[in-house]
Formats: sequence, structure tokens, C-alpha cells
Amino acid sequence: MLDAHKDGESPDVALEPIDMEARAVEQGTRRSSVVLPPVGNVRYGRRMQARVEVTTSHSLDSLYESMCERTLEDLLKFKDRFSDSPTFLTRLASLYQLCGHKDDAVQYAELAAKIGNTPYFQQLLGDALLDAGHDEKAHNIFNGLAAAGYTDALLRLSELAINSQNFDDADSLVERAIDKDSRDWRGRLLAGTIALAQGNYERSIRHYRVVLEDKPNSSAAYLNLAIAHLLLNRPERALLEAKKSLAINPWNKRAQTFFCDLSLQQNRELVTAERYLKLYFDIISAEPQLINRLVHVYLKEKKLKQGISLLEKVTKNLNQPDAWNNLGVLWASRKPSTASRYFERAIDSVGGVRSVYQHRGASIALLNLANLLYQAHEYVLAERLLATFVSEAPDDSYLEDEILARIPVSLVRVYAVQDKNEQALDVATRMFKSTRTHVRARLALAELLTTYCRFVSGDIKDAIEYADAAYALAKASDEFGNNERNTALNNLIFVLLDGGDIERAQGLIGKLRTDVDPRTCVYVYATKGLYALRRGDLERGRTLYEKAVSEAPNKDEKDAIRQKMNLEIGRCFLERGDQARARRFLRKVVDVNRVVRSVWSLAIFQQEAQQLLRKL
Amino acid sequence: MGDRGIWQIFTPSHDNLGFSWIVDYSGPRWSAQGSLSLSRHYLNEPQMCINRRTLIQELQGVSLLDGRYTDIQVVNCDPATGKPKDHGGVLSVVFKAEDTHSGQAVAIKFFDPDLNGPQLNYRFDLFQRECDLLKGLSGKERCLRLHAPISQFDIGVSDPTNGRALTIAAYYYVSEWLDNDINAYFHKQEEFEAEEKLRIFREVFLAVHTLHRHGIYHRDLKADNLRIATRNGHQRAVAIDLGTAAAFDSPSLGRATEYAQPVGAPAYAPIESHCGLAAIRALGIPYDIYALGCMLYDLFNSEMYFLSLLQDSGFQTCLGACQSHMMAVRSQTSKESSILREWQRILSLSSRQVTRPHIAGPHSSVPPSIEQPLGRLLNTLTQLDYRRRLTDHNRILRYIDTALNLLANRRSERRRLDRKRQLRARRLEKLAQRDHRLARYLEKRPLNGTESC
Repeated sequence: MLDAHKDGESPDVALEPIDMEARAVEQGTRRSSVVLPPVGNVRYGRRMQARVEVTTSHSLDSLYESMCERTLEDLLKFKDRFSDSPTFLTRLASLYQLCGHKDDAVQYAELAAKIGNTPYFQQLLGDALLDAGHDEKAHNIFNGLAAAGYTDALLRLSELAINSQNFDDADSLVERAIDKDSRDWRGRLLAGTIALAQGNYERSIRHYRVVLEDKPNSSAAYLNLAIAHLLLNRPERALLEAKKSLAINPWNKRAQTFFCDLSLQQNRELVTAERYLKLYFDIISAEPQLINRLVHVYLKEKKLKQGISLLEKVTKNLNQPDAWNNLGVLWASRKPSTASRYFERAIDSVGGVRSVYQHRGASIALLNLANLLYQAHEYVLAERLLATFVSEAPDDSYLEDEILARIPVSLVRVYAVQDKNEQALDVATRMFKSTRTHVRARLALAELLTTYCRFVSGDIKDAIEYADAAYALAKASDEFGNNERNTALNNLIFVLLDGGDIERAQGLIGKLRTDVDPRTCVYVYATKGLYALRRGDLERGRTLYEKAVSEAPNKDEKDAIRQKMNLEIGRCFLERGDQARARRFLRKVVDVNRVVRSVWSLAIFQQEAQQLLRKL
Repeated sequence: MGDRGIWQIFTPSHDNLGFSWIVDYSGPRWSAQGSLSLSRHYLNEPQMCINRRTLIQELQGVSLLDGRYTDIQVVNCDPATGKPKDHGGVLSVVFKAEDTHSGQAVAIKFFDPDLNGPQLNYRFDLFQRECDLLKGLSGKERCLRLHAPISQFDIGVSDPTNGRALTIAAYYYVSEWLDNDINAYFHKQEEFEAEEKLRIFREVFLAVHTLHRHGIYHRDLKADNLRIATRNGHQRAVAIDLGTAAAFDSPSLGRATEYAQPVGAPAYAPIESHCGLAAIRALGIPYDIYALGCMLYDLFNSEMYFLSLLQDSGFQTCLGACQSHMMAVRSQTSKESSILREWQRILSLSSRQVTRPHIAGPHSSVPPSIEQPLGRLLNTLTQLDYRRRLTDHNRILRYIDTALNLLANRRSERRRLDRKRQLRARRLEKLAQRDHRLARYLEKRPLNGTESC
């Protein structure tokens, strides 16, 4: 039995994807990080494209400025008395640097280096120069110190090489530093992050482990380790390490988003994610990105009340389409009319349907609203919303987004349900052929096109072609799990059997699994039943079909499966020459009064039964 | 007082002292317009320091103050302008003078006559409390000695708007003058041996311990607020500037939980002080203990403890979280126990990521032999959680003495080895001389029997 794409059953939460950030440097005025794609975009077994981001100032400057200025005032009293002491001059330089007087800092650091004349004071001068933007001078100093084998200078040069994306040079410099002191966490953190950027994930894990031996309370190292594990397709381990990172520093926003995204993706540790997010809101602030994540967690945990009360509290201040959409999502299962009001509000907040494509959250709200209308059989309104979006969007960039790419899929369904086959086919083939379309949307479109070819145009060859393409997509992409692959395979076997290619179906049927999502299993049993019936094993076929009927989640699906079962049993009896029984079963198919209104109505079974009856 | 209260320089609330800043208070010169323009002058151009300048000029012109203090010279302000010296802020004007009775130098500390604004009363309370504390500590070996309690000195200023004369009462007390500071041990540490620095730290600790023993905590401990005094022929460290000090059992000036500013030098103030808990009495001793830890680090490292800690990203996050949370808590409750409970909660959540500096930081001058005891001591003194700071004075002293003993042992061992080396060298020299003599003797004297052959 064909498991047609069921889009729009649950509305989508608007979450802004946040890149994963692996910190390479934790100290100093320039802090480099290697930035990787968000959790949802990770492709296993492939080297992820990394970019470098540098934070050039202290994140909490204003907090310290007054403290440093007062200390500086205290020290300046002794400026003349201790003007020949490198220690005193160094302290002055550091304080000037923290107060933002960078030129003064350089001046005092130069004096200290002149009097002190040791690598330590030279290094401080290099740092002051770097902070003041005199990169070349600083580079020269560090080069001189590095030639003498001074570890700190090697690390600083490595940082500079990372900042200019020169990972090979950075790696060789940091290797030299590690040779000097193999347990220095600063060198290991740099080395680990360089390895992460180069796609050498196992090596980065080894480095991070050493970091954690030397500095067991490094939240950044645990987060980096979690990222490396995730990139190696070890999400459970990644969750564990990210949890440790959060336990050390619950105010680490990057760790919060990473842990939450991963736990939502894996559907694990949701309680922990909720606890840490709530703690963050209690103590720090209600950041929109984290609020939306907490709402998603509540949704997954089915704590709708908490989610609604949280969002109702913050949307007043935020006025963000994301928040309005998410509030609608929470209401969708309880009171669809309220939900639709919130979706409308999200759309209105960006200036209406015509400009909705400019904001992702509002676009998701439009999709959700269209799906809600679809469920309420308001097909015309849903069509108008979706068609406006597709026509107004200036380019196809939205097709690359996993959620937004579902808009054309929904549009196809809305057209199909209204029997506007031409428009549906036009949109579906265009979007399916576009290479920009997200792989999930392409799979859904392939399934829809298979359904169209099998049930509407009756072109079984094309149906097999699309089913083949869908299976190839599901197999090739690591986006999909066993459920999706099984469904695609099931659909392919179904159309093969319907097309009479039992031999190829036989080669594939062994791969069908029943240890997956029970909802997918329903159609697997039906297909297996069909296979048995086509092979003439009436009893087994019937048993399997009955099992599928009993496990089908709703009456519509039960009826559809039963209809197909009766058709196939009738066909089977016909082949055996038992015309009376064949007629009895075929009549059952024809006599069904209630035709399920769905994408490309399954009334095709009635037509087929009628054809067979006519033969009799 | 009506509207005039806003503009007046001082609110005469201290009846016990019986003073008012502006003696000629209600006369025609203090019409609303006159007072307004005078105060505006102060508010908009505080750098003028009119009262302070006049005080300095008048006092330096006085031949004998109170019939005993002579040769009065201002210390912390520019005598010509009245502006504070060396970029510092001023809450009091300090003069050095000679006490004709004892022949010793004394410090005359005046409450800043230019101080104005809403905190005036509070500041004067602090000034008065400082004098009271010194009075209570009189005769104690490691404490600053008070020579004379608060007295009044009238100065005449002219109203800048109309040139009319006003009289202002300035208040002061007199304490002993201590010249020897210990700043060089901190800011020029490379010139001192570890043992010298440790001995000075021991002295500093004992000075602080003396204050604690007498029920007082300082809250502004730093190298600049410590002096060396000679007591019974011994050199003793003494804590000066008790402006922020308080007695354990004294009531807060205002509500302790409402005071949000850090007290004392920020470089030596613990994290709870930066989060608005500085005025809570229960945190007084740990406050000083933390400052001692910072000073210990500063004695042996080029970087200050405060600056090293600030470089830790974990500390920055921790401080930010604690500050914002405690601000929110204090806006909701003023109950001390609730505030302390919330403080412990937020600190336990945020402090795990903090890596505190180790005594042997980069370019540290700590000898390896005392790295361990000093490392432990620093660790216990500078704990972020005030409850975990070591407040047992005997144990702190034991740590310091252990380090000193280790250094002494190392020194005596080195001396012993040097002596041994010297003796060996001498012995070898003697042997060489003997060999030389023998060789010479053998050269001169022909062997028996050889001749006969």
C-alpha cells in the first residue's frame, strides 16, 4: 500500500538556526572561534565547512572599566617612585589596556620590556601592540620570541594564523608549542579547534581530552568536544558532553542552544534542556532565540500550558513573528481558531502575506496557517496563502530551508485535493527538479508525484520512476532515518507490484523492516499482504492486510486499506476462476459510499473494481 | 529647611557635635538666589575646590593649631588649587604636622569641606566612625594611634557671586604619622627576597588579625593603606585609613542590604562586594581575608591578582551573572538571610567555571620550595564563596610560618653546603700544597742507593 506524504499534521515551531561555535582561544583581547553549521545541518561522514570568527574586545568591558580606573588611579600615585620597576609598569600597562587607553598601554609595556628585557615582558608588549591594532609590530615581537622557543609567542602566532584562516601554519606552530609543553591546555584547545576546522574530528577529540585533564572546568572545551562527537555521528555522546559544559557554565548561550537543538533533534534529555533554559531566563534574560527553543521543548513534552503562559508573558515585549507563530503552535492542538489568530498576527507583524517571505518565522506561520485551513477543508483560502507566497518570493532561496521548502509541497496537496491536477503537477515537477529544493521536500514531492502517476494519470512507469527517485534520495541522504527509508522502499515495492514487476519487488521486499515507527508499519503490512496476494497466497495476504487494517490509526486509513484488500482479494479469486467470490469482494469495493477526500482521491480502487466487474 | 535644604552645603543634623557648615546661615547673604548660585558653582565646577583650598591656605598659615601642632603641610592635595594630588579622589584632606608636645610627626585628617550632595551625612558618619574606632584601638600594639579626637576649625570663604564672607566649620582629628609604607614590596618586588616579602606579609596579616581581634574589620586593605611603625623597638605593620572600617557589632549606617556600591579598593575587594553585599556585617572578616590573599599574590607576581582573575573568561561570566541576579534579588527583598541564600545559590551555579590564579603564575618569583604552602594559602584565602575562605588566624599563621621555616631551612642548608664546599676546597688545597711540597722535597733529595749503584 502506498504511504502518501502527510504534510501539515503538526504545525512547525519557528526556531532560528544557530551556528555551532567551537572556541579556540579563551583568554586575551582577541578570542577566535571556529564556526560550523547549525546542529540541524550537520552531515555525517562529511567535512563541514568552517569559518573563523574573532571577538576583538572583552565581552563585559563596561563592567570592569570603573574597577580598573579606580585601581589605575591608586597606582598612578606611585608613577614617579616606581618608574624603573618593570613589574609596576606592567601593572600600569595592563590597567590602561583594560580601561581602553591602548596607546598608554603600549607606552608602559614598551618601558617595562625595555627595563625588564625578558621574554615575559616582551610578550606583554606584543599583546599590548596587538590590542592597539599594531599587528605587524606585534607579529615581529612574537616571531622573535617564537624563534627562541617561547611557548606563549608560538600560541599567539598560531592564533593569528587561525584568524587569517591559515590552519596549516597554525597547526605547525601549535605543534611546536605542544612539543614544549604537551599538557598546556591553551595549546591543546587551539590544536583541537584547528583539527575541528580541518575536519579531523577524532584528532580534535584527543586534544580536547588533554585540555580537560589540565583544565577540568573548561565549559568551552566540553562544548567543543560535544561538537566533535556530533560531527562523528555520536549524538548521545555529544549530548553528554554538552550537558557537562552546561553544568559548568549554565550561562553559556552557545552551549544552551547546542544542547537544546540536539536534544530536540534526538528527542532526549528534554527535561534537562528545559531546566537549563528556565535557569537562564531566571538569572540572565529572556532571549528570543532561547524562548522559542523552550517553547519547542514544552511542545515536545506536551506541556502546552507552561509554553502558552511563557509566551504570553514575553510576546508583549518581544512582538516577534517567531513568538506569535510559536504561540499559535501551542494552541493548535487545543483550540485551532485561537491558533489561527496567532498565526495571522505573526503574518501581520511583518506587513501581511505579500511581504511574509522576508521573515522566516512569519513564513512558517503562513505555512502553519495554510495547514490549519487545509485540515478545516478551507482549501481555497489555503491555496491563496500558499500561492501568494510562492509567487511573491523573489527567488527560490526559501526552498533550501527545511521547513519553508514544505510550502510548495503543501501547495501541491491543496491543488490536488481540489483536483487542480495541472497546477499541482506543474508546481510539483518544477520544485522536484530544482536542485535547490531541500532534500526532504524533494522526497515529499517524489512521493506525491508517484501518487499522481499511480492513481490519477495511471502511468505506472512514471510512478515507478518517481518511487525509484524517492528511494534513491532517502538512501543517499543522511538526513533521513530508517523510517523514511522504509517508507520510500515500501512505496517503491507497492508501485512495482501494481505494475506487475513482481521479480524486482521480490528482490526488495526482504529489506522492508517492521521494527520502525508503527505508523509506517501499517503500510508495510499492507504491501506485504499485496505481495502475498500477487503470489497467490490468499490466506497470508488476507492476514497481513487484516493486521494493517487493525493497526491503521484512523477510520479513513482503515477504509482505504480495506478497499484495496478487497480489490486484491477479488482479483485473486478472479485469477483462480472463482467468479462468485471475486464478484462478492469487488462489489464491496464498488459499494463503498464514502469516498475519503484526500490527495488524489483513492476512488481509483473503485474504478479498477468496476473494470474487473465489467470483465466478469 | 524647605527648598534651601537642596542647595545647602551641609544638613545640620549632628546636634551632638553642635556644628553647622555655614555659620552665617540665615542672613541676607543666604537669600535663595545667593545660596543657589554658590551651590551651583560647586556642583558644576567641583574642580574649583574653594573650601578645600581655603582650608589648606589658612591651616598652613596657622603657626600653632590647638596650641600644639605646628609646621602643618598638606599631603594629599595641591596647596595652590586644592585639587587632589596624583589623580586620586578625596574624601578627606590630610596634613602632616609636628606635635610640639611629643616632638613627633602627626597626621591631621580633615573631613573634606567641599563634599556636597546627598551622601554628605553618610560620609560624615563614616568620618566620625573612623575616629571612634581609632579611639577604641588606642594603646594596641599593631594599631594606628589617635592623638586627638574630632575638633572644629573654622575657615572663612567668600561667596563667589557677591564676594561676601562666609564661615565654614571644618572637622578633623589627629593621629600618629607613619612614614614607612610597604608599597615597594609590591610594586618593586623584584628587588626583594622571598623571605623579606613573606615577613612583611606576616606583619600585614598580624595587623589585620589585631583589628579582627578587637572586633573591627577594615574593608579597604591594600598596600597603600599599610605602614610600618616602630613599637617597643620592633617593626610592626599597622593598618591606616579606617574610613571604611566598621565594628562587627556596630549598626549599619543606613540599611546594610540597601548599600549597593563596593567598599574600598576594587582590586582587593571580593566578588560579593562587586555584587552589592559589601555592607553586610557577616561578610566583614572574609572581606579582609580575600584582600590578604590578593596581596599575597601581588607580592610574588608581576600581574595583580585582580587583573589575572579578570583575564579568566569564566570569572567574567560569573561576575556578570552574579551582579545581574543580585541586583534583581535586592530589588525584591531587603531581608539579609534571603539575600545571602540567593547569593549562595547563584555563586554555586556560576563559580564552577572560574579558574583562579595560582601563586606561581607567569613570571612569578615564588621559590619552588614554598610554592605548595603558599599555593594552598592563596587558594583558601581567595575562595569565591566567602564561607569557604580560611578565617582561622592560627592556621593562616601556620601556613606563613611553614613557608618561612622552609625558606630558613633552605637557607641554612645552602649555608651548610657552602661551608662543606669551602672545607672540601680547603682540604683539597692543603693536599695539593702537601703534594707540591713532597714533590719539591723529592726533587731536591737524591734517592739512597741510587748513587751507590
